[in-house]
Amino acid sequence: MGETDRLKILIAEDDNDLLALYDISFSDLIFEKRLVRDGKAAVEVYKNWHPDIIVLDIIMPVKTGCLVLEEIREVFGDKDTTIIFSTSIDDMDVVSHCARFGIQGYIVKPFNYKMVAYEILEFFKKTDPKKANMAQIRLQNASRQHLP
Amino acid sequence: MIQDSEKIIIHGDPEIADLIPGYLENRRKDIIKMRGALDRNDYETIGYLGHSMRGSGEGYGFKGISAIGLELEQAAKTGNAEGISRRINELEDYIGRIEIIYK
Repeated sequence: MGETDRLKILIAEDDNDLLALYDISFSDLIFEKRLVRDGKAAVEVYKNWHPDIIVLDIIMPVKTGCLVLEEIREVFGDKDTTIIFSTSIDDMDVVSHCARFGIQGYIVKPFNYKMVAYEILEFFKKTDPKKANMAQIRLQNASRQHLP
Repeated sequence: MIQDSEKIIIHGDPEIADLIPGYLENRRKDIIKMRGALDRNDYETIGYLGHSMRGSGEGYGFKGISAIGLELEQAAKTGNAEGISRRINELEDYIGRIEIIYK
């Protein structure tokens, strides 16, 4: 991963307030972002943009996160892209049920916007540890520069 | 006029200070939507809005909104109209008493 290479992250979340938090959670220095509000849009972006990481809310209009996961893994046959669920604690049965299609992890809402990028990169290590480590170092450096 | 003793002091994160007024405004809109939904016995909408609040409140520094969101979601699941009405009033009261200090 070079200095100018950014990780492509697609985030699907139907709550605008959470999308705004995600937007500032993922630094433009390290991530290239696409934010969408439903599962159908997530699949469209996935097909055309090929993200490194996908964060999926489970309960979304038009198409749920579970259906998006199933489509990517089963219809497109993509077993490699890092997919992470964003969920509330009482959705765990749903997470377990959907995870059979293959996820790298999940984050629990409400999340700490300052930590969520680190959590996501930990999951991304399962797919590409070199890129994930490089991104973590750059993220830490960027955070230090914001310290008073 | 709210007395100092009635205020709920929240230590806001300066990095998201620009987002917080919009976030609270959206919750005021939710209160109106939920009251309308309650009049129509539309518990699905109330449950959805409660679920959203639960997922976002603490991220913005408002644990109280996440807590009320959870209670709204649970009351909506059981169709507890009285409980919903009480929680909506609590939310309105909470938002009205918040004073945010950024540092």
